Amino acid sequence: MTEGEFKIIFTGPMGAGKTTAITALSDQECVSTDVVNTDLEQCDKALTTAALDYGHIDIPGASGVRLYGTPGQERFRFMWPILASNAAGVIVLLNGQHPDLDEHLSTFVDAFWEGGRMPMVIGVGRLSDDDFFTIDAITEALVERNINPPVLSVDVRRKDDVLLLVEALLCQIEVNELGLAEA
Amino acid sequence: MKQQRLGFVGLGDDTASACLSMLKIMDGRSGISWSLSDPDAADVLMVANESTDETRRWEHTSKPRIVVYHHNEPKPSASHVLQHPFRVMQLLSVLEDVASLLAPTQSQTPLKTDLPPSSIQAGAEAADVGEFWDSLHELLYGDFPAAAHWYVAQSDEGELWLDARSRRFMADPLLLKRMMHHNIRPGVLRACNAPATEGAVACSLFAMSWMITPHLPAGLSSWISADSAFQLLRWPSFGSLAKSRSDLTLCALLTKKALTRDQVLSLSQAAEDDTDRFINACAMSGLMRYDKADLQTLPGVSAEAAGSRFGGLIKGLRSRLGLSA
Repeated sequence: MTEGEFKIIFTGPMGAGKTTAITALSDQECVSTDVVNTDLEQCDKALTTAALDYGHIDIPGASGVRLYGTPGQERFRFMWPILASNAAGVIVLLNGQHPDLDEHLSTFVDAFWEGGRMPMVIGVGRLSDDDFFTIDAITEALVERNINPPVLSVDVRRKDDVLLLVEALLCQIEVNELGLAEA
Repeated sequence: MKQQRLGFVGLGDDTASACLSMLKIMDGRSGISWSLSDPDAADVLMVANESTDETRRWEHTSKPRIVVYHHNEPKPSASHVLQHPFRVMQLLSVLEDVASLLAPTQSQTPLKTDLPPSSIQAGAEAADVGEFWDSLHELLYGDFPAAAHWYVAQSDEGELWLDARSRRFMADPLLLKRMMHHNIRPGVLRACNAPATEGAVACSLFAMSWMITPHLPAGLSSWISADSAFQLLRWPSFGSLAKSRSDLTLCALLTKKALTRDQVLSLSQAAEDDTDRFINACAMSGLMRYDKADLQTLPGVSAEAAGSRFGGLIKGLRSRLGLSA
């Protein structure tokens, strides 16, 4: 990462809302590499990201914040480390109603967690407001593996929810900068 | 933990797969561990609503049946039904209902308590939120742990029920909504029989603690020593509860390292009241470990001393996005 550059990655399975989240934050129109979705069994939407999404937040006096969205399908997994290289943090988005939720959780957390070096936030969508149970279950499943990121219930169509994910990520980046050794 | 077997009859692959995935997520989170078995060996059956040879065979079984019907079908008349697609909470709810049939004495028998009179048998008219808080702590962590299954706290605006086994509260959704913004002042928790919770919704121990702590007297709860080193075992599930940037910073800091209260205040720059409230709520909900501080192993870092690669950028980004200063 060059001086003044700051990169946030949005990852997660197809249909979890990565493009929507980047669009909510970006100052310019989100650059997408959408293709026709041929995997309707995984996700019922017409288009899906094949290479990456890109958005940008302008910061006066700095080069700004780059927002990258990874492709969600595992066959494009080779793109994930390329995009995550030198990232300041990762936001993992999941569909809380998907039957393969636990598998998606493992896949994307394992791919980006880097032994706890990578600041991470997990946003779980499509849950009802009072569904603390799913969030608790996901959090505790991760804690059993000594993985401890925040897990938040979000609706990425609401900008405030996307900002909450960003704020939780920034708080972790700041704490990492304090240089506290892991307990 | 009690083991129960669940059998599928006539369910489509997608429904069975979703259900199995949810059971995996639920494992350890309920008083019962559910495993998949053949219908013949199962304690409870999940049966498709369609009439087929397979489903007809189980129509008159004595086993409890949960009938799964599609959202475009009329609701079946069975006692236990699930509309497909369903969510984890809906599955959990119907399984808990069925489980109560399998062990009727657990919820029907009048409950006795061995708890000390001071914490449990006090009058329902008590409306000091501090007394509610102390009685909750006594039930969960005291020398005389909860002997009963259900406890109730009265408030002017309704009742809060505590399921001591799952450590969850149940209440009218309107009451919980009001609690998010108002001081409802529940009184002391006391043992009760299983409540009629139709229309009530569950509320996690953390959520209840988070809503109560703003109304407690200032400072740490009496059972927490200010000399402790605090460490958060995991991030709390805030859900739709109000949380500030200072709360998120405290989470990030205290999941990283055990710190004394003074160190937390110095590193987070959070207000004392906010920090105490955070510690009190997390400690009550079992998310915070607090032990006598071993000062030699604690870091001596201060916020000012820490180098910052991203400090200016993060400040600029917060300003740009309109996040709190």
